[in-house]
Amino acid sequence: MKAPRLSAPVLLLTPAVIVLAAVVLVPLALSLYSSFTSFRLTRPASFFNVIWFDNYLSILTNWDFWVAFGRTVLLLTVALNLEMLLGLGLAMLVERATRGQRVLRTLMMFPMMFSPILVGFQFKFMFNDNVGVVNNALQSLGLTDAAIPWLIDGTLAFIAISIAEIWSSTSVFAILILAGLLAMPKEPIEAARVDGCTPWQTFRYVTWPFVMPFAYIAMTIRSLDVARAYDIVKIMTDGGPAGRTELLWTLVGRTAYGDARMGMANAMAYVSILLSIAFTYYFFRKLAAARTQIGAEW
Amino acid sequence: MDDNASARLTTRLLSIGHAVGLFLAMTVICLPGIWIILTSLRPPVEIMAKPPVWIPQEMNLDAYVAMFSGVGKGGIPVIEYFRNSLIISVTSTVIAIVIGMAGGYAFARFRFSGKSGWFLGLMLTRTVPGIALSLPLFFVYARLGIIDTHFGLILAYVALNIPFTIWLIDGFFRQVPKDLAEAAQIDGCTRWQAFWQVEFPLAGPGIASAAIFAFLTCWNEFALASQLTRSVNSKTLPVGLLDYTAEFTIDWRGMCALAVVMIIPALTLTFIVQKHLVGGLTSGAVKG
Amino acid sequence: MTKLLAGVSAGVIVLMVPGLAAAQELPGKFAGVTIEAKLIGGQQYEGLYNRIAEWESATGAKVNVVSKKSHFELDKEIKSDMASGNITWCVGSNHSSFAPIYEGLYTDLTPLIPKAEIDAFVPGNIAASTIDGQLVMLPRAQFDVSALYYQKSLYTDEAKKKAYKEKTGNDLVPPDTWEEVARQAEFFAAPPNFYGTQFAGKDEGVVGRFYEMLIAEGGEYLDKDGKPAFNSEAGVRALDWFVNLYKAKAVPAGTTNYVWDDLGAGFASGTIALNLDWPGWAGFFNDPKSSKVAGNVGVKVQPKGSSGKRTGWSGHHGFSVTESCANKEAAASLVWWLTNEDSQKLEAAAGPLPTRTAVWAWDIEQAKSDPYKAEVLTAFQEAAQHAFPVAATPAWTEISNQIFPELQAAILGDKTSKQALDDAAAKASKVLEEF
Repeated sequence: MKAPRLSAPVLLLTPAVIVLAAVVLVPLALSLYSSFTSFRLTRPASFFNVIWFDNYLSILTNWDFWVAFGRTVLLLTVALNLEMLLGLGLAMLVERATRGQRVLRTLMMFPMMFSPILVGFQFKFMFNDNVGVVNNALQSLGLTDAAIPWLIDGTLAFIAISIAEIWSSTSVFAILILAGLLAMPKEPIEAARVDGCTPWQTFRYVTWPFVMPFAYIAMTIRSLDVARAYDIVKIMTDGGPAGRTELLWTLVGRTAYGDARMGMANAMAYVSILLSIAFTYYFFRKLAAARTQIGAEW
Repeated sequence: MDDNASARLTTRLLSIGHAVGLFLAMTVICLPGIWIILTSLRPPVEIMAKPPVWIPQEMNLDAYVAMFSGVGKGGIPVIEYFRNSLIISVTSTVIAIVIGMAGGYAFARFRFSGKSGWFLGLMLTRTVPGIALSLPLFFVYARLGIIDTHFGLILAYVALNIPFTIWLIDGFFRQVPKDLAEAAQIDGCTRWQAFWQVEFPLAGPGIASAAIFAFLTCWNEFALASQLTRSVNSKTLPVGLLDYTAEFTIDWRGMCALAVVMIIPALTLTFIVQKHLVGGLTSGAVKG
Repeated sequence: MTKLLAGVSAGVIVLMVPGLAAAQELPGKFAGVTIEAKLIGGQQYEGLYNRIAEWESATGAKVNVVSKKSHFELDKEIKSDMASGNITWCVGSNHSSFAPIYEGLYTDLTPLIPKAEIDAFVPGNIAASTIDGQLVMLPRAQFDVSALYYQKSLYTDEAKKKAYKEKTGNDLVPPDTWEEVARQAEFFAAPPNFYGTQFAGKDEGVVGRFYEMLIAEGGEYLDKDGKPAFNSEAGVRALDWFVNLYKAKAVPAGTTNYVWDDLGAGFASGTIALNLDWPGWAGFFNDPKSSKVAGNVGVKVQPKGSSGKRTGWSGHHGFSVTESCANKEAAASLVWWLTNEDSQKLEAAAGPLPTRTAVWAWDIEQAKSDPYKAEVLTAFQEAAQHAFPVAATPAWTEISNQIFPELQAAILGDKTSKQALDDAAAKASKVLEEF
């Protein structure tokens, strides 16, 4: 009776493995190879010109690349943490509403309906220093009489990009945490209330441990998927001006297609994959820890 | 008595605070969307005006009329784009959910060697940025001759969504007590029946939210679609947005109108599906 | 799968029909031939494609549009095709600024098109379509060069005239030199509600603007040996023009993040006095539905730099035939059809500038009853005479990507102009060495 038991998960996982191998692993192997060549799109023959680690070496010594790397890590840290906090708040607000749940839940997911490239255009126009709606509103309300250069100043541009990113992705956290809240058994909360816990204590010791795995799931999913922000940043600033908002993805994108230097771009992409793996691994461990804490079977 | 009164006051304050907070949060979420809708209805002169025009002076549907008025006359092939988007998104969501359910169930219910390694491995396929994947994928697709086909994009989107769906569904199956299925099997159900009649309904919300995620990801995906589609045969709506840009000009208003056309079905579908998000819970078996 | 088969069979059909030497008779007869084409998409460009059906019925051939995308997406796609050796199509949309990048992709059209037809195009456009002596594309009526748009009312305001005269000793008239533009821009500017001028500040946009200013200042982008030469004195003067306007707050602070859409929206909002911009915006700026300055728009030939030369960075769209095309005659006939006189008239009637001499005359004749359109066309016809394409190097885009962050750094004050240009030249040299 042991043999079939063992084969069940294998059977169940086979389709997933096949699809992922075909669509991700094979192309990935190709691009790994090309990162060791001087591959230039417009010169197909260069695909076979192996230069080993030259691309990686020139990345190592490329200061601009590491600045972009650092900035990407910072953006991820800031955006993901704020998104989790805001998403948690939003989910709890919605969960507690007594009426209009369906409408509220749908509205909560509203930003997810926006294609990232649309979000990019939208926030670029909103943050336009001259005719953008943000400066117009600030000026009309008398809060400032200057045209704030939202997308020019390094810090402001970072904030503007973070806002666009947070606006478009907080929903992901909110919906997952809400799902966790809904799946949560009601007795422990009742019990806590009967025992005289304050709302804060109830949240801290009953609700939070239960929804934490969901928050980490959301966190990990988002950290996997952050490259989505590429479309937004590409349109808002494309890494500019003067490289002040350069992120790994804008750098890779420009090197790959603008410069047509695919070999170099793939080398950069591999370094950025390491970053994603590090983030994912970190949250993955957190998730495992959280699960142990609530005693779920792992 | 005093305690009671102050408790009632606290409850009251809390509920007012809750209402205000909820209202503010929803406003922030909706404003950019409303701005898009307004932009699609107002003449461009009002949109980018300085000093700003806050109260719309004139609203019309010109941008929508233009969009449907045919290629070459200010229109774009919106019907074809819409059809492609719908076919691709729905098909790939359904396939991703089926594969994801199988995978998620395997991780949630079985023990096997190297389990966390496999799990992490599957997840990590998602860390590859689209920009690094798009060209090699194009190479492979070009060899297979599936560039600019529905099939090609569906395959890519299934792969894109599998890690998420496995993960989410795994998480929700984990929440369903194992004893329930075991009890059902003792009652004479096969494992298959136990799954469909007991565990599947309970994991309903997880599956529903995974489906929403997968669908919205496909519906809005741009980077891969722009590389793998070429003509009205398979171009999707997000790629179609760029039809409103020319080398030196952009029709922001037309783009907003198309955006509204994109958002409405997604919104409607979410509204319908989120009902099931609750449905799985109402059975009350979770409590019992 | 059906698509795959259809693609294969189309290829087979193309292979089976022998090349008929009928190129002298345009459009010719090509019964049974199927031409696969990649065309630039977008509203402004697609009206023309309705004429493809007429070509099909005249020649008996079929056109299969295998791709229709915006300009930069199409560029990406063509590069991907080149990289994967997947060039199964015959006709492609092309652009004079991108043409040098596609080394060896497109065939020389000279033997395929009668000389009289080639001579009917504006010589400058044909020159810009020729790379290493090969005519790689035929220009369509989508020619772009910038002229100076301005708000007319600013120049009829007596108080302003007087103040300007007192301040600078000059008369306040629409400027003819870039020095005057800078002076007037500083005079008009009243941030945050009104600015003297603006400029494209990122990507190829800022490089193009710098490039044309460099030429107008008498400088050179690449020297005879193809080495970067823009970090000259003329280069510093050219870049200083942008730097000083930015410093004086005569341009919007966001200008280093602007590309064409932001610039168009800015001038249409009535907050910009002088605006060097493309012909595509002429209609938009004067339409009361889209622009606050409608009825108040003047257009003038682009100003000149200190060398006496006018700026004139230009480009045009066109169509090319691939080297690997099995039936080049049929493909060339289609390319000719899409750029012939009737086609150009169709496109020019909607606003874009033609590239055939006869269509220019026809266009101006048509505009007689419309004073604004006549003013626009006159200005742009003059502008076209000073037009020049980008430096013809396959590395143009790649060099631009290296240079623009340096230009931005100078404009924003992170570096001096000289330092920025030296750094840019060093980066560009490195690119060219590795090329």
